[in-house]
Amino acid sequence: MTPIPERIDLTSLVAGVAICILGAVILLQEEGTIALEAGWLLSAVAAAAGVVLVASGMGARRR
Amino acid sequence: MNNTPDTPDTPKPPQSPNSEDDRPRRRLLRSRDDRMLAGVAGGIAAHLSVDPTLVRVGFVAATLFGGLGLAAYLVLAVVTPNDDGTGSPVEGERPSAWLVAVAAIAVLAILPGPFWGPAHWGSGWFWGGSLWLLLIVGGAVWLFLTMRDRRADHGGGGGDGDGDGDEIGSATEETQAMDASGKPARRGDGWSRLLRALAIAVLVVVGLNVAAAVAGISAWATATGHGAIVAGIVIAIGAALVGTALIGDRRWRWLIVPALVLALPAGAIAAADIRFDGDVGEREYTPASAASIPAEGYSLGVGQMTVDLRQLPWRPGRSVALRTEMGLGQTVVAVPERVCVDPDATASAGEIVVRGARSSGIDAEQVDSPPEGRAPRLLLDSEIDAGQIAVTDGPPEAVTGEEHRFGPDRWHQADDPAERARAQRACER
Repeated sequence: MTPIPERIDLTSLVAGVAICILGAVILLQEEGTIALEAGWLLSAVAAAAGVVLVASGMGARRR
Repeated sequence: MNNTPDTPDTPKPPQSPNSEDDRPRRRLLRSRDDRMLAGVAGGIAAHLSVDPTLVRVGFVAATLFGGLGLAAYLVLAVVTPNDDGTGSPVEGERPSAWLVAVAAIAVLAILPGPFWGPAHWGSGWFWGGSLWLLLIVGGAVWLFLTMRDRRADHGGGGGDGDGDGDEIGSATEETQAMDASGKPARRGDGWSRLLRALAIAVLVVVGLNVAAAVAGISAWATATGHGAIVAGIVIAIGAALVGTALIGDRRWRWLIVPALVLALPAGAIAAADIRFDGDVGEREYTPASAASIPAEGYSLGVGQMTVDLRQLPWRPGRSVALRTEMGLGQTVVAVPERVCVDPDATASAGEIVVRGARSSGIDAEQVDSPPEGRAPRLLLDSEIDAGQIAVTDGPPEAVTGEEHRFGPDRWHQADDPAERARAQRACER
């Protein structure tokens, strides 16, 4: 596996990607492309927060 | 900071056998020797020749009853000069800009008027208001700063490797540099800690208000069909975060917060499919005949809608169909007492009261099919996203209020067993 360059801020990167995905999901919902259940939001946010925390931990180890 | 109350930079004169607490004062000064924060309580106590503890208890009590004590203390700290130790004010002393700013904010906060968030407009600081939040946050920050300063005192260095630690370290050095007496300086004096804690607490409270406002705007925009714009902003913030991450700039991590403040309410509204389509305002409809009721019914985005059917020529055995649709607000339908209501009413969140029969909560509904009889019938098909649907046999004003104000304080007036009994009698005819 190619190592991640050290200058990349892993936490911001993962959080940014997660936020982009969240925005895209809202956009698709608004456009009617997908129809989400009401309970999806909490699960998605919890999963994103978990991924960001893992990334943050990995970033701290790299430093 | 021009005001350095706990760092005496002038030699302390010899004390007479009669200390400053014992001799009469001509003017009010902040005490130099009897101070816990700025010496206000000590100065007042000496001025009035009373126990300073009593004055301090008075300030705390006045703070709990409306925040006046805190504001008064800060104002007195600004306007009252320091005692130079001889009973005279210190020459050329000016209050610090920090102190003036915090005192001004405190005074504004306790005044009635639009100085705080919408929840507290017109009430100022009082029980359960911003004062408590400010005290809790300020207390927590003060405790944190105190513990860090003490840790620094014990050789811990006061830093944890990040910028904050350096800040504390430099503040400590500043305190040490100001101590000209040659004694070891006390790290982080109580007054400066309190000021920092208050300033941070004010920022937190203001930040929470701003976040709540942004979240409300995001939810409103999504509910009114502008969710794509919110989603676009969220995606742009996410892309900006990715960009800053790729160049290794960690300073923009705070963008995560506004992104979530925008995305979470928008996502919740989108997922719950709450839509405030249509107009905003108050609508009153009084159709003169069944034919004049539009087949698609009446709809309103946000506000209050009243459909008064009491003037309709109701004939025995005949049915009239009515459809209403509302985003956020209140729908009131008034019918004559002799009309049997056949409801199919749903509320995504809120309350439905059909002639005294009430249901409320999430996905509330009132669906009934009374047996057909000779009584005229209203076939009601009513939907609301958030708010109240009320069907009454009285005047609409009984539900909406004379001034057409709607809100939870009026909603429960429609829960009426007597009206429920009248409705049952109408359907049994």
